[in-house]
Amino acid sequence: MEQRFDISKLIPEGYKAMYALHTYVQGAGLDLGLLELVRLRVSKTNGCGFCVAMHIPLARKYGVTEHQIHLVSTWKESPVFSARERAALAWADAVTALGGQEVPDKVYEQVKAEFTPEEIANLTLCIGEINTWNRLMIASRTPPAL
Amino acid sequence: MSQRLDYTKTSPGGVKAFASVYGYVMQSGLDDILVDLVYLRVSQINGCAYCLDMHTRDLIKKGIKVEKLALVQVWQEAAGLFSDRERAALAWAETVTRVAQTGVPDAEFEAANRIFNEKELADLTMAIGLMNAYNRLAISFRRTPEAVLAAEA
Repeated sequence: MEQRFDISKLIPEGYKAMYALHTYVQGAGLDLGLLELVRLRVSKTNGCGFCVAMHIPLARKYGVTEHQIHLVSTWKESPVFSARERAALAWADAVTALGGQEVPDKVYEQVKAEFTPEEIANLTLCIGEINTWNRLMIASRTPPAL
Repeated sequence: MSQRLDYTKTSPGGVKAFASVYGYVMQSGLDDILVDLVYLRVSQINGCAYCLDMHTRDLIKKGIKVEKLALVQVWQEAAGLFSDRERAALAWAETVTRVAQTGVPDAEFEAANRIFNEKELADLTMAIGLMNAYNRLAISFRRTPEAVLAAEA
């Protein structure tokens, strides 16, 4: 597996702008463990090896448990997630899937029951951001930093 | 289908950060019509009404004819209307947008790599990634297209 192109070297200004977005999301007031859980889930859905390898240690660092890390791919059937985490994961799944499907009211109601409007907006910015990174890293076939 | 929440009001800092990425792509040196065609195609795949409305208008403003706009969705079957660069960019946009299904295979990369240099490909991928995020914001919150606002005014 060879890297196709290196985004950080080819377009440092674009990379910097993406990183500034990341800095915003990190400082938005949401629990950093929750954000890592969401990033891990979305990265697995999209199939980004670089991102999965990056977000597992970060999830650990911010207090996500080993059980949660192992079971995030099967979160619906796993009893180790809180109602707030389940709402965030359901939202992340719906917002990531798309392909012409809408984001259903039922999932919006679930996330609204657990998060304030500002938190929902910031969570969605986080989901949008990781969807962008996943595409950048998969398209450029950036290898995981192991 | 009313708007769920206005993220430009709840998270102006995040919207500004996204706008910087958009600004980067605009001045990257990629042709702006090419970028808008890519934005339109990505928005078609994801199903973003707000974004389809915006980028269709932008392309009309830039002189793209309705005959061509109508066929962006089926560009492969209307190849004569699209340049080599446009076709390569649209193909790359499709595979990178549908990443969970495609994994962006080598054949697609090689096809794009024949037409674009490395930096252009990086910029194009940034544009595609960005539109995938913008689509997700607008779809999730059911942002109202300008045309609908105008019709309701």
